Amino acid sequence: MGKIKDIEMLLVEDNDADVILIQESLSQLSLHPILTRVDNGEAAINYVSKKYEYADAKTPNVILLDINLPKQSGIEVLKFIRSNESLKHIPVIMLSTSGIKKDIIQSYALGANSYLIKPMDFNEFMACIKMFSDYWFNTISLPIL
Amino acid sequence: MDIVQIANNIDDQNKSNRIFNHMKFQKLLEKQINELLPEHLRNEPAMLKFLEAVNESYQDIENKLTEEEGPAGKNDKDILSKIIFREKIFNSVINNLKNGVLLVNEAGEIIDCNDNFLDIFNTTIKREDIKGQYEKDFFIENGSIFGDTKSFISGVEKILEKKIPHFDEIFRTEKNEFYERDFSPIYYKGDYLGHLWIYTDITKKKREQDSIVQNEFTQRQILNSAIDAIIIVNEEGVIEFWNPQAEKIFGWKFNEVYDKFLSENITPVSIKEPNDKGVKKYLTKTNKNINADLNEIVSTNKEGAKIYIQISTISIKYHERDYYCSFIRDITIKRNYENELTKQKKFTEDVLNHLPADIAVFDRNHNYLFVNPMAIKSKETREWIIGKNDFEYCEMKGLNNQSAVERRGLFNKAISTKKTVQWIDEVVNKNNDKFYILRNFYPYEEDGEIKYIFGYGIDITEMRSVQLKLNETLLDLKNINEELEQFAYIISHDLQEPLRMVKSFLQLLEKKLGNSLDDTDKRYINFAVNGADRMKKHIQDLLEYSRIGKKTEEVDDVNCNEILQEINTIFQLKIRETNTTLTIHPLPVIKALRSGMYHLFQNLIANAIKFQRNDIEQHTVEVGYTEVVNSWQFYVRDNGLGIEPKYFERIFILFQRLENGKEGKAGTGIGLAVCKKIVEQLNGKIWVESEVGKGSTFYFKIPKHNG
Repeated sequence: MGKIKDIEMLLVEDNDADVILIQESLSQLSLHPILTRVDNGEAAINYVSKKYEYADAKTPNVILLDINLPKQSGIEVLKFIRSNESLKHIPVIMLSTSGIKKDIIQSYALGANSYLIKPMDFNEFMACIKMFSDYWFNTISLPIL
Repeated sequence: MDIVQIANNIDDQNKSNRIFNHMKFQKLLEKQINELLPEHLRNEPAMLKFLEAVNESYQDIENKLTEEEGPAGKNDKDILSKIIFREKIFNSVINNLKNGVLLVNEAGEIIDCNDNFLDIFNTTIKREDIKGQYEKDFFIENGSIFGDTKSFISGVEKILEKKIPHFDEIFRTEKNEFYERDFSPIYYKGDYLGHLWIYTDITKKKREQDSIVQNEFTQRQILNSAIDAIIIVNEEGVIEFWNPQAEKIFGWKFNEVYDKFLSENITPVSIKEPNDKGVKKYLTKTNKNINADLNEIVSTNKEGAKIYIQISTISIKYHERDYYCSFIRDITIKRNYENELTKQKKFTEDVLNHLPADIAVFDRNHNYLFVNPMAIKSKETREWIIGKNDFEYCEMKGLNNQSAVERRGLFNKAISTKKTVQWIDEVVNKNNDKFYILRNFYPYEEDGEIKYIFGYGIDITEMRSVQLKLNETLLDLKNINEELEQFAYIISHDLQEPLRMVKSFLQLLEKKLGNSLDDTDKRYINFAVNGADRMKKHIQDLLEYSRIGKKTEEVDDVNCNEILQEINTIFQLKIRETNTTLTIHPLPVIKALRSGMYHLFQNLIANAIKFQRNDIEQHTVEVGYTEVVNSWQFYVRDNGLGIEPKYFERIFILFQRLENGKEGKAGTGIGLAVCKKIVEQLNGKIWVESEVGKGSTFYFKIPKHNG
């Protein structure tokens, strides 16, 4: 179990507002992982592949991946990660506004570790982030190399 | 003893008496012979002469005796000689008779016989010796020529016992000769005086008769066993012969029609009169030409039923008389079949002629056998084309034979594959309108061989355009459906997204500003947050509504009890809060979509709990069902607010609401629309019965056989 502040967390989210909500929630909860954000699927793939501007990027310990993304969708990013030998071990938590069955099933089938529907209510959102942090950062062990 | 001897032995005293007696015996015999002699013997020339002579002589003697009554016996000698003379004649006559004759007196003693008699019995005894013998002794000794002596004697004894005339008894000798025997007893003034046996040789006659009988029998057998009915009538039209086949056809037995007019029995009443006239006219003709050709005529049987017969008649001459011999066959069944066939043919043609389709029947060589007016309007052409083909048709019409070539190809395909060939013809009429005709060549087989090809043609122009339109519409629908799906996705995702932002950031703002916000500020934020919430609910309900009918689930056995159990659990809290009694009666297992049934019950129960009256303590909701014809009819009953009748229909329409936002009872106006959609999807029906202030009962009926 590592310290939360050592955890490299990649947030793939095009919506700035959601990024703020996540940041606010973490900060309200006094949680400070090393958070990196990219705003589209292509950038996410480049980041994990350490390509171009991301040549010096660190391999994330956990990925928060929105489904609905510009350029490459979250599903495609997931596919890429799960098909890459050096990346396939990284836990991926899917984020979505909707609970569309097709997306949920497809995500798990492709190897997502969780599927989170972003709550409407900020308090609920915060509760969700708390539960998520407790689980992923404190309860279980992340594959930190 | 012969008569002469009798006469010679007369003693003097009683001579005249004896002579007289004897004479009387002879006269008596003659008289009796005359009366009792069988006709065929009476016509015997010898016997005739004998009778004449005997008669004459006795007349004479009688006269003489009457004259000489006074000086009795004076001319005895004369008389005697006369008697002797007559007796000589008698003897010679008897001897010359072809028959065998035996004369016996009352005591059973033989008085006389002739040589023929002795010949018949094949005896060596002389005529002189037999006289005075007992006839019985003679028969015992000689009766064996007729086979069994014993039965012959007993026959004789029986006859003698009765002493009454007994004629025409036939005997057969061992030599196969036939004799007829007649017995004539002789009576005088009631006293029996003796009797006469006469044996007549009938061998030849019998043989002739037998052969005639045999002949007739053979002929009759031939006629009787003929396949045809044979009726023979004489010149007057009277039935003389009628064989068993005739009995069969006409129902009359021979003995019922024998000697009756033919027309009485087999001519139908309806044509009896003209028939009789015709027959009469015919019979008066001198030159009777008989038609030996077959004629088919209507006749009638014993029951009076109409029968059809085939008849040919020949005339025959027999014993100088004309007879008409008819050979008859019953063709009623054949004729009835023919009539029925004619009717059926007419029926079939009528049907074919009036069907709104082109119909043609071809032989194996593609020649027309039948064509209906839909296919060819002109009657002349229709008649002309029978036996011809499409090439000849094109030639006649002056058309290019391209179509005939194509048709022939399709025709040959139907013949070779023995399967229906179908194609669509494009036809352009005079007005340049395009028509589409769906055509068929259907091979009709009999005993595995193609006998005909039926050609059908149906105008499908309209159907085709409808089909095309339908295809277009289907494509449109598919596109719309896809768009709708996309739309639903957008709604569920993109529309909720901004709402979430609105709500979340308002809440975040509230948190950040914390104590610097006054109550009014907080209230305003609340309004905004609530608005967002309501909007979200709307979106979710709409989504649900749009999802009904997506074929993602199959109709299956759904146990309604299980569903209600789940719903009951979910509503436990609300039920307790509102002091509601939810009664669930046992429910059936039905064919439906599980999720649909779940939503249906959930929505109805939620409504029942939602729209309760505040003026009563105990709220009730009751769920149950009844079985109606081929359907399950469910009900959800409450004692809540109730609905005004004018809203009974409206409440099931999307976005129609009865309540405003007060008391938090307002829905989205989607719940009951969802219910309606679910029920209708199962081919069911939903409705409400309600009274304001008393409660509502929502019914829905679902067919038992779904999917």
